[in-house]
Amino acid sequence: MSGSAPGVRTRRSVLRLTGQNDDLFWYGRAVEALKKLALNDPTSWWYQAAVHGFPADPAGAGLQSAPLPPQQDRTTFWNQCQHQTAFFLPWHRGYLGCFEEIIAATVVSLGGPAGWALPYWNYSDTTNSNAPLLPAAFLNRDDGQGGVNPLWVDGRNVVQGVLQLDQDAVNLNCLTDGVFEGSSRGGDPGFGGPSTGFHHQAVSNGVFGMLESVPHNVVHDEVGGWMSDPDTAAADPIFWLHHANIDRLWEVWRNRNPAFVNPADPNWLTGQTFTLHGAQARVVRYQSADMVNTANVLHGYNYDDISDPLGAAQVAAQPPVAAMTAGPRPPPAMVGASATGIPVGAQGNNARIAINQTAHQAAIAALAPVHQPRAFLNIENVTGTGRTGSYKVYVNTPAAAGQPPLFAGMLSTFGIAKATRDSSHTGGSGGTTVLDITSLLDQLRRERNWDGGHLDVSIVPTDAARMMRAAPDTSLQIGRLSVYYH
Amino acid sequence: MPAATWLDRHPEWWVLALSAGAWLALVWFTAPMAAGSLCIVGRGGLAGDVAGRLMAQWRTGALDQMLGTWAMMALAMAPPLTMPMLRYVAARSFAFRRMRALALFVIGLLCPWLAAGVLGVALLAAAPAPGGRFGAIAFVLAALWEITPFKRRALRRCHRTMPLAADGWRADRDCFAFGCARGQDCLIGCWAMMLAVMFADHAPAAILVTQAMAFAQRRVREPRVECCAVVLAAFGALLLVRL
Repeated sequence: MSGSAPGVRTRRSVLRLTGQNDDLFWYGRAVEALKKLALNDPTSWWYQAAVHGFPADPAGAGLQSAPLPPQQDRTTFWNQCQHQTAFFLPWHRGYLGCFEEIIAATVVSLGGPAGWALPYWNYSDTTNSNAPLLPAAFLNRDDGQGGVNPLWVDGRNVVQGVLQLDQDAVNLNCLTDGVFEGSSRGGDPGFGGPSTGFHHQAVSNGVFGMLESVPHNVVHDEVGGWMSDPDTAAADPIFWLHHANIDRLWEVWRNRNPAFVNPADPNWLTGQTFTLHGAQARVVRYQSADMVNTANVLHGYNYDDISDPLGAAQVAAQPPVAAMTAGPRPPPAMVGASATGIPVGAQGNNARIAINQTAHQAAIAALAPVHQPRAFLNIENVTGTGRTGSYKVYVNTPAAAGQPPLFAGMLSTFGIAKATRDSSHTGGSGGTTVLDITSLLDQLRRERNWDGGHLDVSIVPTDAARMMRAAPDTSLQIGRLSVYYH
Repeated sequence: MPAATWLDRHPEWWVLALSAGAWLALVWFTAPMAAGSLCIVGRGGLAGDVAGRLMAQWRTGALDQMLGTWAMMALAMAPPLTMPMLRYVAARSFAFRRMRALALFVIGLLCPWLAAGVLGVALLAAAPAPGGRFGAIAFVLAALWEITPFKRRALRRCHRTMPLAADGWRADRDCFAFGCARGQDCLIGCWAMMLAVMFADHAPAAILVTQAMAFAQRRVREPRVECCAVVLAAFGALLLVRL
């Protein structure tokens, strides 16, 4: 369990762990111990989960609801999770580091070894057929010794004893986006998310970053149960392995192309300070600048594998960011939109986007001299109630209705119910997902004689979504579909 | 960054310029009235019943002046507070429609404030006399409003966006309706504060402080409304002391 440098520990793939006296085994023991601590103990399982989010009705959600810590502590430490923002990755890195410190200290107190490291769930590993399956150690209620497995939680989307993630849910196309901090105005939201101030959930129509959309959000949806709601997600032990993988993908992205760099924006680096608890309930304060080098994050850590899963060919095919632009990138421009208010029923829905030729030509004229324009499908103001799962999004040209539509990406509803409530920090705006459809529009022009007039979009529920939509009190609506050039 | 690039990235610039102009006009017209003091009211004080006082104010032109000042104050204060919404409207509209979309949003935004202004001015004009006591009461009322759940809810709704139709009369309607909705939330959140400012005869110091508080409340995750309440209560106490 020791790292490559003194004191630096190495996080390993859970697919390579056996649960026999290794990091996975001690994780289970520590989770069991932390679950016995009271909610108002900053190192308890329940308090740590509440740092991410705490529901209005914890008892109804099956969480510990008392004794509550003082109101001031709840205001400072709870409900902090950063989503729909470029703080998504640095905030969660600090959160994982604090959690790792707490678990490691607990492992030692239970008689385990020092230097425990959080395993990660690499569900996108194409070399391992078990990768998209929920690891066996988390699957069964029975711990094999007559007790309840501490890594098991009820309500996940387990079908016939298996929880298998959809292959599109673990797609890693996000790694090709060379911009970390993107735009919330319809264009590229960036690998890490749009530039924003500190906030919990969206402010002003929050847009998800590329990595946050897929695989992050969709894996939350696909696992289901507590994982499908930001207010309960961190109470599921698989949450931490999922986020360790998301954190690892940040390192993968940074290492796959020298032009892929973290923001130099002072607002991102030092503009916001986060406050959490580490082991022994010590208060930890950090900024994004403290999170850029994993060896310097608290105790320091690295990953056993940050090789490029997309392969050398795609690295070569991706031009360096510097070569793609010849000056400041102009702001994104909307070129087409659908009607507003698109209900998404249990069977999904279809909508048509009308491309405005005046806007199209103006956008091309503004963007083309500076860089090669990219096209982005915006799924705006998605609102809903209940847990509605994720959807697959396809595009096609109306003239080619007989041909199969082209897969554009995934629409997740993780956090949407919360972002829909008036009482949330979004004020009820919902969320916006952005998909890069540049290559698909090229394909439609090339292979289906698309005239650039209208674009048909289909929203199709995944199997998990169909299962979740069967629950009462669920609804989902898309505010508007639009196409932007950026 | 060249000016043209900056303007291209901030299509809402002209609305903010309009607000800046309204600020200057406000200071120009109200500073002499409030010079050397924090106000205070005294528009009332004429003899007679409520209707009589209103008629008297109407004849002297004081009512027009008060309404004009209120409208100027709304134009100066409301658009900067909704800057993220202005940017949202611009970003979610076709480039060739942005100016029209922003104009309709701002008109919608000001409508609830202007309607409330008519009511507020009538109230102020009908206030018996002397005004100072009412000013103090208005500030205490504003302080109490700050700590109600209605205020917190309105602040959150100030961040709410809505999908806008892209073209045609539906786009115009949506931009106007969006402006009205945010204006309404803005009004629910800040009506008490602004009423107090009105009773303070639109003293620039009072306007500046309330604008700063309203701005700060919209910038942070957990607005410190209690601190704002203390500031407003202190203003009220100051008025009482000076009576």
